[in-house]
Amino acid sequence: MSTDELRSSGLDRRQFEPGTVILKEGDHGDEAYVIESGRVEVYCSPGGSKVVIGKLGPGSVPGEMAMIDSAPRMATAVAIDKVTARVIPRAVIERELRKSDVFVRAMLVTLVQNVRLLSAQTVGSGAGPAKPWQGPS
Amino acid sequence: MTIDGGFKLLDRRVFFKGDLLLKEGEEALRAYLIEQGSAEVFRTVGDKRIVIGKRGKGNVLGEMALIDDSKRIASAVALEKTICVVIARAEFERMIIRTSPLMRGLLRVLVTNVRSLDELVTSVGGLRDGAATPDP
Repeated sequence: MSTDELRSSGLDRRQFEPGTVILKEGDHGDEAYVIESGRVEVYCSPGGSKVVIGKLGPGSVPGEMAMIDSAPRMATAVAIDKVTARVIPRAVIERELRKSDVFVRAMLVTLVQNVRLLSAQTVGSGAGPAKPWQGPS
Repeated sequence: MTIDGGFKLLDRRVFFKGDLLLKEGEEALRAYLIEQGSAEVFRTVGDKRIVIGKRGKGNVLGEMALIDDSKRIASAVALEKTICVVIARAEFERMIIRTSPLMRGLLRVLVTNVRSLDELVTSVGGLRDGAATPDP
């Protein structure tokens, strides 16, 4: 997500110290984050073993999917170094979704389904960690 | 999903089993919203058809190339009789302009993630429950 896309959104900033858990797999989250600085490691724990999916940097938006489909978090995200992020509360996303075209909503839902389906396929396939989840920098 | 209010002119198209809705490499001129039926999304690598997704009622097809203005990276074939609302490129662009910057940003981030995952899933031979089959 670019500065331009965040402009006028009036979102609060939050800082996370290294090692802080930002998202927890299985939780019902009420916030998404837009990373402004710092890096975040994303991992799943299928059957208790940690599988790193990737690293996120500035411009990435951890936690966005649960805002769109209300499903539990599919991964855990931990701050690698000091992370500054803008917080997007669920209420903001829901308000914007309601104002959006039917087709825009359908696109968001479809894209989230795709990410969830494809991620489930790659975790444990031996393919990761690779490019996914980096987001635009 | 009900389609009301969002579209002034509803242009629908019917595809029969085996018809191509999207073709890899083509220029993206439209997207589809599936009202009925389903389609399989695949890429062709050599002579193999690698399945990377399925879409059903309420899902959108062909949106990614419109969002990031690129060529189609996958094809889609109707698995049964499938009825879609057609969203032409110009209409799509008007809709995106009306959409808030935050929602546009989310769309872009999600498309980037899906593209990366598509590459990864293609590299391991497609979806596990949809084994690669020879391209006819």
